[in-house]
Amino acid sequence: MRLKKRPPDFVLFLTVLMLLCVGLVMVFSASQYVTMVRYGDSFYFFKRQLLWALLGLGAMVFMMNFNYNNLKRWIGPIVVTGFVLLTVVLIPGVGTETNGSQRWIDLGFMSFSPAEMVKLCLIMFVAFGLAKKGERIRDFKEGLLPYLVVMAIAAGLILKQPDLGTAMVLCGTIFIMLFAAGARLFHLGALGGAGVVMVGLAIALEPYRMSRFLAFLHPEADPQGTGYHIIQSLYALGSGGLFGMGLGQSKQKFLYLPENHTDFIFAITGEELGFIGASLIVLLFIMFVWRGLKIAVTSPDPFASLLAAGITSGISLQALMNMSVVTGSMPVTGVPLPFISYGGTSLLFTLIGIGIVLNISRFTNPR
Amino acid sequence: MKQNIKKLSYFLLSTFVLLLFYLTYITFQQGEELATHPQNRRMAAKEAAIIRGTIYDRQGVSLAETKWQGQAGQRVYQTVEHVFPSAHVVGYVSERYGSSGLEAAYSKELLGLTEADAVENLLDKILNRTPRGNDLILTLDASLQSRALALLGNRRGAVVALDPRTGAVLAMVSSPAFNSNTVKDPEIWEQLNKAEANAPLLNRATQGAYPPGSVIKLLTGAGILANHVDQPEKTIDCPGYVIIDGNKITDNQVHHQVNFTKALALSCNTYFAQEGVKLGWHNLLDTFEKFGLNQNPDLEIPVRAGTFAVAERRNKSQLAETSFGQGDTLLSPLHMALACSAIANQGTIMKPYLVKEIRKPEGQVVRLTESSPWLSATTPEIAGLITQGMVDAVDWGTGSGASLKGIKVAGKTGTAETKNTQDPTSAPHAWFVGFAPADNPQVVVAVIVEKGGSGSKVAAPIARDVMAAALSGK
Repeated sequence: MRLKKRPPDFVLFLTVLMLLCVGLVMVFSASQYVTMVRYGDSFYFFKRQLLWALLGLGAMVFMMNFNYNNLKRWIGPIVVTGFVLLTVVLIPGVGTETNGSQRWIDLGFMSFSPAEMVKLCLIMFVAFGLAKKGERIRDFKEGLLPYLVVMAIAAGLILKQPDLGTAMVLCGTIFIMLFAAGARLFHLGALGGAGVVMVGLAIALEPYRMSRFLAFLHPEADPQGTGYHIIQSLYALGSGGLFGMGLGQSKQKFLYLPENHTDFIFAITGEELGFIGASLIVLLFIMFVWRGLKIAVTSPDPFASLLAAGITSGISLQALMNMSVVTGSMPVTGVPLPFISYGGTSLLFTLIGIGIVLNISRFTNPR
Repeated sequence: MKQNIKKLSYFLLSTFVLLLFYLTYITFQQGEELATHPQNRRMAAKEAAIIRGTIYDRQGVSLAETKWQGQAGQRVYQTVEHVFPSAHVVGYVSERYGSSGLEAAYSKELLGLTEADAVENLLDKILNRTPRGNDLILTLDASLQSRALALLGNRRGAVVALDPRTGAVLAMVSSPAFNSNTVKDPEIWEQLNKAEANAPLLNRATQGAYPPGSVIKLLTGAGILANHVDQPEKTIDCPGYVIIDGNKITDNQVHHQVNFTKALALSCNTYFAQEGVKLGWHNLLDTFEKFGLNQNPDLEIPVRAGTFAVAERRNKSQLAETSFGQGDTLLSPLHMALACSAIANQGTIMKPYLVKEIRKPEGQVVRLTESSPWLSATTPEIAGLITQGMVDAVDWGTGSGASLKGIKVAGKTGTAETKNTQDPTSAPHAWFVGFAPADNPQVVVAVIVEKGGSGSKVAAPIARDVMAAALSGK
C-alpha cells in the first residue's frame, strides 16, 4: 500500500481547533469563580487546561506525521501498559480518591486518568484484530469472543473505580466497531440486550445510581437532592435563551451547579452563549462526525478504516452522552464533553486520537 | 465494512440532529418557563438590578413596593399590626426561599421581562437607566382586607368576598396571616413552618379543605329543583329526624311542615337528606360540577379543587350526608363563594380574577382584565327561589346574625361537624355564605372559622360586617 501522501484533512483539523478554542474559553469562564474561591487564582484551571491543550496539540501534530502503519507493531505493549495502569490506579495509595471514586494517578505536577488512555488503546487493539479477521468476524467464538473478553475486563476495571459513564462509552465504542467490521446483527442484538441488562443491574444494585435514575424520570420530586443537577442544568439552558446572558455572565457557576467546568460545561455554555453557542458546539460535532467517518470510508486499509471509525465514534458517543445528560434526556452519568470539558488526560488522548485520524486521512483515496 | 461505516455515520449524525431539535425545544418552548421558574434563583439575582413594579389595591393603596436603597432594592409590604393582610394573595419574594402568590405568578411582568417590555429594556440599557418593572393593580380592597382579618381575630379561618357581576375578588384573607417583609429571615421562616404555628403560609381561602356543612344545601336545592324531584311549594313533614338506610339522622329541631324555601331558611336536614337521596348520586354530583366545586378557576395562585366521596364509598347514607353537607366532601371557601355567586348572578358564575390591570411605570395600560362568564350553573328561576330561601334565612331563620339595617341580605349558615375522634369536645367549623343587597347583589361573601362553633353565631356576624364594609366602600 504505497499511496502518495496527501495533506491531512483540513476541515477536520479546523473543526477540532475550533472546538478546542471554545473549550478553553468556556473552561475559563466556567471555572473563574470556583478557582477564585478554592485557589485564590481565577486562571488556575485555565492555565492547566491551556498547558494540556498545547501538549495535546503537539502530540496531535506528531501523530499526524507518524505513519499509522507503525502503530501495528506497538499494539501489544500499548494494550499491556493500559491494563497495568488501569489496575494500578485501583491500588490504595497509588490512585487518588476524589468524590468517592478512584480515577487518577497523581504524578505530582499533574494527575493522570488511565481510563482515558485505555479507551484509545482498546480501539487500536480491536481495529488491528478485526482488520486481520476479515470475514471470520461472523463467527461468534472465533471472531467476537476474544474482543468481548478484553472489553469486559477493561470495563470491569473501570467500573471498579467506579466510573459507569466511561465504561459505557468504552463498551459502546467497541460495539460500534464490531458492527462496522461486519459482525452478525443477530450476535450484536443479543449482546446489546445483554448490555442493557448489565447496565440495568449496575443501576439497580448501586443505590446512588438507582436514585440518579429515578431522579432522571422525576427530577422535580427532589429538587434539592437527587434531581438537583438536572433541574439546575435545565434552568441554566432555559435562562440562556437565544443569545445567552453573555460570556462570563452565567449565574450557574456561582456554585449552584457542581462540576460546572467538567461534566456540566455545556449547560454553562448554553446559559452564557445561548442557543446559538450551544448549537454551534453541536454543529461542530456534526462536522466532526462527518469528516471523521468520511476518512474511515475513503481509507483503502481495513485497519485504518476501523481505527478512524472507532476513534471518531468513541468521541462522538461521549459527546452525545454528555449533552444528553445536560439536557435531561439521560440519567446523570459523569462523562466529560470531549474538547470542551476541563480534564487534561481526556484532552491529551482525544487529541492523540485525532492525530491518528488525520494521519490516516493522508493515505485516503482522493475522490 | 464501508457500507456499515456509512450506516453508522447516518445514525450518529441523526442523533446529533435530534439533540439539536431537542435543544431548540428546550430553548424556545420551555425556555420562558425555566427562566422564570420560582425555584430558579437567577430571577431573584436579576431582581437586584431591577426596580420591581409596585402592587396596588383597587383604590391605589400600595401593597408591595420596592424602595431603592443605595445599591439594592428593598421590597416593602404593607403591614397592619405586624402582619400583611394580603400576604396570601400577594405572596413574598425572597432570594433564599423563592417566591409565592402573585409575586411568583407575575414575576416576569413585575420585573418588566415580557416581550412587551423589550423596547424599554433596550432603552434602559442604552441610557444606562435602572430598569423598572410593570405595576399591578389588584381587585382587592386593602381596607376591606384588614377589616376582614381583624374580624377573624386570632381564630383560624378565611374570608372571601367577590363581586358576583364581574368575578373581581374584593377580599381574600386567611388567618393566621404572616408578614411578607420578614419571611426572608431564616429564624422566622422556621417558625412559620413549625407544626404549632398552624400553617400561616397556607392560603386557607383557596387551599383549605373543609366539610361544607349546611351551606351545601344551596346546591343540593338547585339540584332538586333542576331535576324536578320536587315542586318548590310541595311540603314534607319533618319529625326532627329521618331514617336513611337504617341510620337515624337527627335534625336540629322538629320543623313540622316545610316547603323548599322554608327548608332552606331553617336549614332542615330532614328535607335535604330525604330529597337528596331521591335526587341520587349522579344528579347531585352533576350539580356540584355545574357549580364548579371540583374545578380549578385558574386564579393564578394555588387553588385546591373540591373533592367528594370516592366511588366505592358512594352508598345511600353517604348520599344523604353529602346532601346536607357532611360526608366526605371537602371544599375551599373560594369554591363556596363562587357557587354562591351563581345564585347572586342569575345562575352564571363569572371567572374570578385578582389582577385588574397591568401598567407600565409611566401609567400606560399593558393589560386590562375583562370579566367573562366562567360557568353556567343554574337557571335564573332556580337562583331566584334559592335567593328567597336565603333572604328568609337572614330575616327569620338561621342566618339572622347577618342582617343589616336597611339592606336586604341573603345568606346561608353552616355548622360542619369535624368528626374528630381524638378530641370529641372539638367545636364544629362555622360557615356563612351570602350576598347583599339581595335584589341587586354587589358582593358575595364566604366565611369560615375553623372549629369556631355555630355558623349563625360565629360566622354570620363576620360576614355581616364584611358585607357592610364592602357596600359602604363603593
